[in-house]
Amino acid sequence: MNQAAEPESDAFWRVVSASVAGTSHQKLDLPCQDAHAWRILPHGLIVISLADGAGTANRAADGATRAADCSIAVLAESLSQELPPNAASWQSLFTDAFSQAHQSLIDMAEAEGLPLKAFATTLACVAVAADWLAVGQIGDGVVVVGMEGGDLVLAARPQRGEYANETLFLTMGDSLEQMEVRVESRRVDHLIVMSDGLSRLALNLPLYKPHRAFFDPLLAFAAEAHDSALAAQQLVAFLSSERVCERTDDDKTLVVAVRISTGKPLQGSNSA
Amino acid sequence: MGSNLLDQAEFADNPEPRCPVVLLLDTSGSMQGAPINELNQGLRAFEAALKADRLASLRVEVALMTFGGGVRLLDVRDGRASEEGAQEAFITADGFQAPALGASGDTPMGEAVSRSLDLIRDRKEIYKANALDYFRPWMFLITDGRPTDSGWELAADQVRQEEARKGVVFYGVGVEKADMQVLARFSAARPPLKLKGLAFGELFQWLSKSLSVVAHSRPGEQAPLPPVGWGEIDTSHSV
Repeated sequence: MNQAAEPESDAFWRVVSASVAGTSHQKLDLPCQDAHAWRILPHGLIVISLADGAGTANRAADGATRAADCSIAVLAESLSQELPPNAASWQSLFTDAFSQAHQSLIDMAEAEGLPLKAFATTLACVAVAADWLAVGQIGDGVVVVGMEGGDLVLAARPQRGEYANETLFLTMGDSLEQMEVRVESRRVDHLIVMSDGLSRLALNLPLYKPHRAFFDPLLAFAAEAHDSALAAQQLVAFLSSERVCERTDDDKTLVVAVRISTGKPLQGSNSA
Repeated sequence: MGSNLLDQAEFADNPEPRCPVVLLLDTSGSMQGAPINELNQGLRAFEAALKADRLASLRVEVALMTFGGGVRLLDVRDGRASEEGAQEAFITADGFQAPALGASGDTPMGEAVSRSLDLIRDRKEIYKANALDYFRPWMFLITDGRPTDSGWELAADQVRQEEARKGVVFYGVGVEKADMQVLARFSAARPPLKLKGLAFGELFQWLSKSLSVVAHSRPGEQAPLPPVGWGEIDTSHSV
């Protein structure tokens, strides 16, 4: 679904995104339990949501989709009206988006007479405005940002337990208290949001340092993605390729956004 | 053109997360004959099954401790007994060589369990020092008798405490005339299982599959394990 937005600014974004089921999920006949959504808003704003459903929760795919859609709707609606004037208002906007997504999952679970944990999912949301970067996180989503010609840095660190298979979920009782929000006044030209399935390929652990040789070609690819449908297909093919699947058997989501300063703007939205 | 750029993406080189398991095997005199032969065959099947799963073979780390006339930590590269520390005792499944075990002597189960806990604790320190990700360690104990050493109750309490703080997963399996009531003392979370006959082959197939499931599990998962076809919960000695 693509909606045209008014090109009111000379700054705009080119975005390519895909969520692909992992090989271990295909073996077990599970659907892709990652979901993502993004919107480009007037004034060069972009918002992205990513939700990674828990493999053992049998309605995780629905939980992830609902969490991504609900949070992006809250963020987009508010940001279309006014830009938060300071860090505190960004913080409360993100808190609101997460608590509405949390409530939406509770409502869905109640409506279906199922326990909330059946819809277990993580949630990460990012907004980039002219001079602001805001990131909210419950779970192990990865957000990497950079400036044209500058370093790539991690803007959201995965929340982890002692063990490799532990993280936090939006559906946990105290999840909103565990939510981490980071608001910074900084310019962002390159924005990548991805699910945990790609962490070991894209980050140098244990410091979670972005691996440039992974990101640079992706950013160049996104910058040249004039045909967004074709680019999305190519990204799906990459995420499904043998060389990726040999290194990770988990679901994989990748959203790559590049700020373009000249040329015809690509405006729109996507939900997957 | 675009997909050429994607082909250029190179991956970070990170070590695989580790999934440690200590096999605690009863090699006391009563295991002589068919039981020890079946156990050895089961170990070979375990080795083959883990090696057949690429990611599991890089993630599952095996240490093997026997208790029969003494406690021995085996070097699972070549089946020799070794007194080395945690660094050497565990080996990823791709390098694991199933040893041929013999059976003799008494059953110092308590000491073996207690030493395994130390081994796991040391291993976790090594993971942390090397910034390796890891899954919750497993202890998998198989016995056909009961402990002959005096400190086993203390060792059993230590396992329960470690289990309560989510430090370890303990499975107890009883063979033939094993004292299931004693075995039940080692875990509050999982009742011991009674092996059906000498179905060691099935048991080790299950163990390798279960470890594969854990080694492939994703953040937040309590991985559902395959059904236990090889054993049953023993109710004849319920506490």
